[in-house]
Parts: sequence; C-alpha cells; structure tokens
Amino acid sequence: MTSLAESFPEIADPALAPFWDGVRAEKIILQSCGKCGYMRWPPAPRCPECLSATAQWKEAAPTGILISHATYHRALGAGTAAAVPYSVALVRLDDGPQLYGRLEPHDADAKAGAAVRACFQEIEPGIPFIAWRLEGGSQR
Amino acid sequence: MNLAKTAIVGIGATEQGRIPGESASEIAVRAAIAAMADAGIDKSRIDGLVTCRPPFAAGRVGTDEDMGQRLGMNPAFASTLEYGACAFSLHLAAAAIQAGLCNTVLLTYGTNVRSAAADFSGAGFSKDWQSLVGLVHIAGPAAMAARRHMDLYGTTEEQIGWVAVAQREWAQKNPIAIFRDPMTIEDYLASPYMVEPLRRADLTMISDGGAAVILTRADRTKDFRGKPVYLLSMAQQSAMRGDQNPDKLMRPWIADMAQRTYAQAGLRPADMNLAYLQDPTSVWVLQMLEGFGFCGVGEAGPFVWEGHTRPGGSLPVNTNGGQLSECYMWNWMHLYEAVRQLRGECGERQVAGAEVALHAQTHDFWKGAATILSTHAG
Repeated sequence: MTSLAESFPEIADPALAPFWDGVRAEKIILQSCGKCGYMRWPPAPRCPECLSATAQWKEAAPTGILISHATYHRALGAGTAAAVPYSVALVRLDDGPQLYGRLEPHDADAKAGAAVRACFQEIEPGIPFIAWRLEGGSQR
Repeated sequence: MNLAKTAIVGIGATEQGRIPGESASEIAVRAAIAAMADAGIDKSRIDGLVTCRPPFAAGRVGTDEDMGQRLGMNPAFASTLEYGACAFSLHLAAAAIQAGLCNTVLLTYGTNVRSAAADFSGAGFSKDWQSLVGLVHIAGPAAMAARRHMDLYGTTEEQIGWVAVAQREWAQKNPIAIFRDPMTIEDYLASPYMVEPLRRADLTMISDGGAAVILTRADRTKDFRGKPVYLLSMAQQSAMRGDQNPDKLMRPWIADMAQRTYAQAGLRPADMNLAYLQDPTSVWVLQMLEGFGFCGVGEAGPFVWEGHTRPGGSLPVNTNGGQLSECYMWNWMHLYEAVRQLRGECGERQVAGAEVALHAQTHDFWKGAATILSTHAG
C-alpha cells in the first residue's frame, strides 16, 4: 500500500513545515493574512479574501464547534478498512477556519453545535494530525 | 408572451445497466442516433455539438473532438465542459443557440463506469485534506449534510428514507429502471448504514448507459417531428469557495438559483407539475425540495414522509426512479424522463396533464443548474 507520505505531497512540503511542526507540538498553526488578518485553511499562497501574498503562521485556539460529522461503517476508500467504524467531523474553529478531522472517540450521537477541542493522533505511524473530542467527553 | 428561446425536439437513450465490451464513446453514439431518429432528422441538420465526458474519462474520450469524428460531423459550434453533467451541458447548448452561434445542437453522453469498475472513493476525486482523515466518497460529506439536517431541524432517518422509498415506487413503474425490487420503509430502516446516517439506498447506483438530446431554436420546432418541450428559464449558482463558505453542507445557494429560475419564467413552485432533482444522494433531494420552495427550510423531512413525492402525490419527484433506482446517468435520464412525461409517453407512471417540469442538478458542493421545461413556449 502506498503510504500517505508518498501519496500526499503536502506532508513533506517545506512550505507547510510550520503546520506540521505545530501538529507534532500539539498546536494548530495556520496561515494568517499579513494584510487583512484572515486566517485560512487549507494552506494557500494567497489570501482568498484580499488576495495578498503575505502571510504569517499563527497559532489558532484549539477550540471550535461541531458543524457535523459522518460515521463510516464501511470502508469506502483505500487504507480506511482498519479504522472502521470511525467518525469524521467538520469543525469551525473559534478563530474562523473550518477543518476536517477524526472525531475521537467515534460517537454517532454527537450533535451539531457541540463544543469541541483539538486532540492529536497519528493517522499513519509517524504522521500526527488534528482530531477532535467533545468538550465534556463523549455523549455515549 | 413567447418566452422560450430554445426547445428540445429529440431525445435518445440506450439500455441502462451493464454494457460490457462497448466504449463509453460508442454508447454515446448509439444514443445520438436514437435522438436524431426521435427528432426525425439526419445529422446534416445539426450545426452544434455539445458533448459530456463521463466520470474518469481518459484523454479525449467523450469530448467534442472524439464525438465529432465518430459521428462524422463538422458543426459550426462544438464544445465540451470539464464538468458537463446534463444540466450544465444543456445550458451551454442553449446559450450557444441564443447567442446565434448555431441553431440546432446535438448533446451526447455515454459511460461505461460500471463495466470499467471505476473507483469513486476520492472525495472530490483527488487526494486532499479531506481524504487524509478518511472523508472519502461523496457518501461522507452527504452523511454530514444529513446529520446536520437532523440536528438543526429534527429530521428523522425514517423521513430521509422516504426519498429512496418513493423513488423506488416510481422505478417499479419504469421498465428501464435497474432497481425495481419492492422496498418498503421498513426494509430501508432495517438495512445497514454505509456512512451513518445514510444507507445504501440513499446513494446512487453506478451503471453504464447513453443518452442524447437535440435542442433547437424555439421558432424552428416545426422542422422536427413530434411535440417540442420548451426551455422557459434557466439559472445557475456556484459556491466555489467551498469550505470558506459559512455553511457549505446545507448549500443555501440553491435557493438563490431557484429564485432566479422561477423569476425568469414568471412561475412559482406551485406551478411545477413535476420535479427532477438530481440524486447522487437522497440528501440532495431534501435540500433541493427546500431550496426550490416546495416546502420551507427544514421541512423537507416531513414533506417526503407525507408522501408528496410518491406516485399520486402532489409533487411527483424523479418519476424515473432517479439515480437511486433507475440508473446513474449524471442527470441525463432525468431530462429524458422529464421530456417523455411532458410529451405524455410514460405509460403506467404518466402524470396526467403534466405541462411544466423543473429539472435541477447540483455538482456536489460546487455549483448547480436549473431549468424550467414546458409544453408551452411561454
């Protein structure tokens, strides 16, 4: 099986090192526009709001609200079989951007609007990523 | 008022299901021949060609160049959209005619995704930040949309299930539908989740098939055989900013597109006798019922549960069975069905007196296109 690092070049992209260094340090470090301050995700060479090419990497608060989530009971993509069942959440950070990440523990009853906090877990050995847990623990 | 500027004067389709041993392009050619026969013309009468590439098409497969060579035609106008699924190709053809670039357009589509065992796992069909965390296949984001609808409005799984159950009831009356076995709401609820809260029946099938359409100037329909179906209005809306948008999942922009579609035709939701709402997932149908004003925002669950979209209901939806029960044809067979209903050719499932139909499609979270079709020019 192709490893994520091979199939997803962003993992080794030097331009994105601040993000990956942040994840390894259990922090969410994202690009913030140097001109208008818009915090963006995913990484991009220009601000989609004001089109400025200047950006700083800034730490975002590790908190947000759950927009929704989906619970995979069947493996629908290569490399996901071992994880089933698992939940993927869409989270709006309190600092603005929206991110996808695993909901841990997997909880089919989590409700839209619930407060979540970032946790960090490996999506493949050696590759940590942002995941989410419900504030106050699982509702199950 | 003579509102319509273009009209559909020919439709053709191949068998739907598994077509092993035939290329996507050749399947499209057979559909094109059928559409020309339906219109009562030969290819010399066509001066426009809009072709739709199938999913995962390699190289030139399905492009205007490919189809023009196979069909032996040098039309004045020829074009292929990168994503041309039915409604977007139809609008391109209509716009070309209205701009005076051509008079009569042949639209073609053929696919062998089923026989070719295409891989639909990529969300957005590429490695991206979503697939990195396991959000793969359109079933995932659709399940998120369903979950959010349930959380915001109290929609239940049973209500969602009525989308697929109602469409199966229609498919049972459609001889070309692939899934025709009876399916009750109890059967639906007893089936396992694919991506909770969605089940297999909430997701499109994958099938092979071809379809073609002939579109001409509304003032030239007498040159063709049969009853024309006029395009009264069309509108599109995109949401290209994707996750930068505040509520990507619920696709509120559908309502903007709907408002313009109705305004251009001077019609209201209650004027629609039929609705064709493309259904890669059942959730898209719920969102479009709301966006197009057939019920209030958040009310689509009770609306389908009450039976409005079923045979005999107040708003027949996807009377061919849609992509959930008839076939996977990127909305082309919804258009084929809409035209046949408006011509009164649908036999057991014919909706009596149908004169106006809405045909709408969305391309995931990216964009949508809608058309109002009518037996009258205005």
